[in-house]
Amino acid sequence: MRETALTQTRNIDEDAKRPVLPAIRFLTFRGEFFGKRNIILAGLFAFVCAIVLVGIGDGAVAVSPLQIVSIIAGKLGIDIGISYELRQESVLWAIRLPRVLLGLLVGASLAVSGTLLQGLFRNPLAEPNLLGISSGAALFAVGSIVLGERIAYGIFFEYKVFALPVAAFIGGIATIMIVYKVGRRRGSVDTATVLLAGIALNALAGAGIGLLTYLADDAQLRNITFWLLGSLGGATWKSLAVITPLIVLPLLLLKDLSRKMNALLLGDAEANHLGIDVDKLKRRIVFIVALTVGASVSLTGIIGFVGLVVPHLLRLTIGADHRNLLPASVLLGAGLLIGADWISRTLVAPAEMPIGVITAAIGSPFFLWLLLRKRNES
Amino acid sequence: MSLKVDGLSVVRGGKHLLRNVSFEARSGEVIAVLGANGAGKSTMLKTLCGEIRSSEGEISFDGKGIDSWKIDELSKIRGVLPQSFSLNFPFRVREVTLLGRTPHVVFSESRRDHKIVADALKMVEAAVLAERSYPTLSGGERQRVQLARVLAQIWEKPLCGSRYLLLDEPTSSLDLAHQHLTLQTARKFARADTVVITVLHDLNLAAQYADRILVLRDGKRFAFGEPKEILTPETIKESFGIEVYVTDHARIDNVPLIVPVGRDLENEVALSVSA
Repeated sequence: MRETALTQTRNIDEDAKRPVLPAIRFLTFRGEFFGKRNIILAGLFAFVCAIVLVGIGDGAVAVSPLQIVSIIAGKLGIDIGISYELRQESVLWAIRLPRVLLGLLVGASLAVSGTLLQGLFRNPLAEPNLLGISSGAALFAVGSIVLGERIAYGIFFEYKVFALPVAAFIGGIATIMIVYKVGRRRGSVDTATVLLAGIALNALAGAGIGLLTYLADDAQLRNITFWLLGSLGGATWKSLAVITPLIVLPLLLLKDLSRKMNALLLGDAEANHLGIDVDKLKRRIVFIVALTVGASVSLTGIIGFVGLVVPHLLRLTIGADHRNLLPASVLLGAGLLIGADWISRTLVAPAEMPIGVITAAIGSPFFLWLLLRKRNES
Repeated sequence: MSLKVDGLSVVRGGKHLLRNVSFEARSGEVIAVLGANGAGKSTMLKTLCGEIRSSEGEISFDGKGIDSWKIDELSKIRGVLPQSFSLNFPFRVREVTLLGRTPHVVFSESRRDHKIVADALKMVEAAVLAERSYPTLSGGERQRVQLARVLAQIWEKPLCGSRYLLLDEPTSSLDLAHQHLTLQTARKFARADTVVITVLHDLNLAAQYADRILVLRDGKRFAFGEPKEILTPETIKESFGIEVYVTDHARIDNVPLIVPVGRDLENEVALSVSA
């Protein structure tokens, strides 16, 4: 019986080759349109839509969801007949919309990077901040605030808009490369070493930022404080135009990556035996993380715990399959960050609390709970 | 079709881990690799699966050198079961096994892939575990699930050429019944045009299931041949340093039965226990 199963699978399962177009399979996940995956993703998508409407609509100047639609349609030259005030239009267009879009991009970047790094290091505790990527990026961003204008003053009129993302990107990729190289031993990544190297580089970046703070003048100090506390307040259409491609293009690579990420969790050698070019895969992960986190940090400063909490929360509910995990991370990360930003600017209105405070205040207890739960399991 | 190893040497840190090893494993047979700790068994298996690069010598699958194969092509016909394994992420057993189909999947897994996974789990008697979370399994259960994953990887015969199954101590965590199930399964695959190479520690399992046995000592090929000619008291004494006596298996024809006598430690000062 087993002997035939072994040799004749080809024939037995001929009926499985039903003429379903690959493209349809691709879109509907094994042809199950109402599968668990799609329901969860649809739920998360609805959550993001709702939180976007809240994030755009709520605040000192309230805008109803219908007015939001009407204003955006109005900008596109379509009149759908719902009235709004000019004040609402300008607040929405100049402040809230770019801010929410930035939250969307940054939240997605941080959550996806956390998921990717946890997979890369096969360690559920990895996240961009623990590995020093964010502080490395922030060090370079701060460096460009303090030193950059002296060096490049007058060369580019719009220098800052482009220099900061570039500097932060270089800082991010340099840090993750160092951490990765230090932790790599005979072809395998030693996770304890990696995390320790991350701590060391965090401290080093902290020292560098401290030194730069000492050198900075008052205006620069204000800017530095803004980086280190984290805020979505710096969103403008211009800065969005710079970072959108830096974040969206790498995220498009995810679709192709998720199955390979699953295999990578088995181990480097095992993934290789499954036909995956592991070094190439790792380089791509590092590339995506450095680019998206570098770009995010450059505009928002350090925002903690999104990259740690989101992947964990999702693994608990939908399992470890990256084909579900990565798209869900994009959605939940975006939704949570927009939500945290909404709290940060309404909680103590008209003042604004740094968003890093909100995410850490929610994230730290969650992290502790996670540790306790893990301890009780074993 | 066959797996050919010719003059294989591996040097690491100035030390020869393998020295000039040659042998040929033909499709249809199970080759057991035996040897004391550090004799080079795992190194050889890792070299065969491309994890370690050889310093000298040739390895070829289906007559084609290992470096001429594309990694994704080779992964369709060659499955590797590693010695140790850690997976901390909450995959279900079915999902872990499905990863074995990775080399064959284009967009997403077909019904056939799922059927193969179910059959592979049945074959290692792990079908009841299918929906369990992998990290909650016992060591032996994990080893069987990993075997199922590797079997699912090479489940179908390729259109031409043979399949290759490389197992590094596949029975190390298993109970007696599953040790035999594993080797019987390996043998079944071998009979269906597969080259099976397995590192083993249990001489009697090797005697019962291997068609031929390769004994390594200090990285060198010490002996290679059928169990009956290889598993003699002399060879075992020289390669493992332990006294055994060998008798015939009373119930199975042509299978030697090895019974250890023990080591003579009286004259080894370093091993004496102070009173």
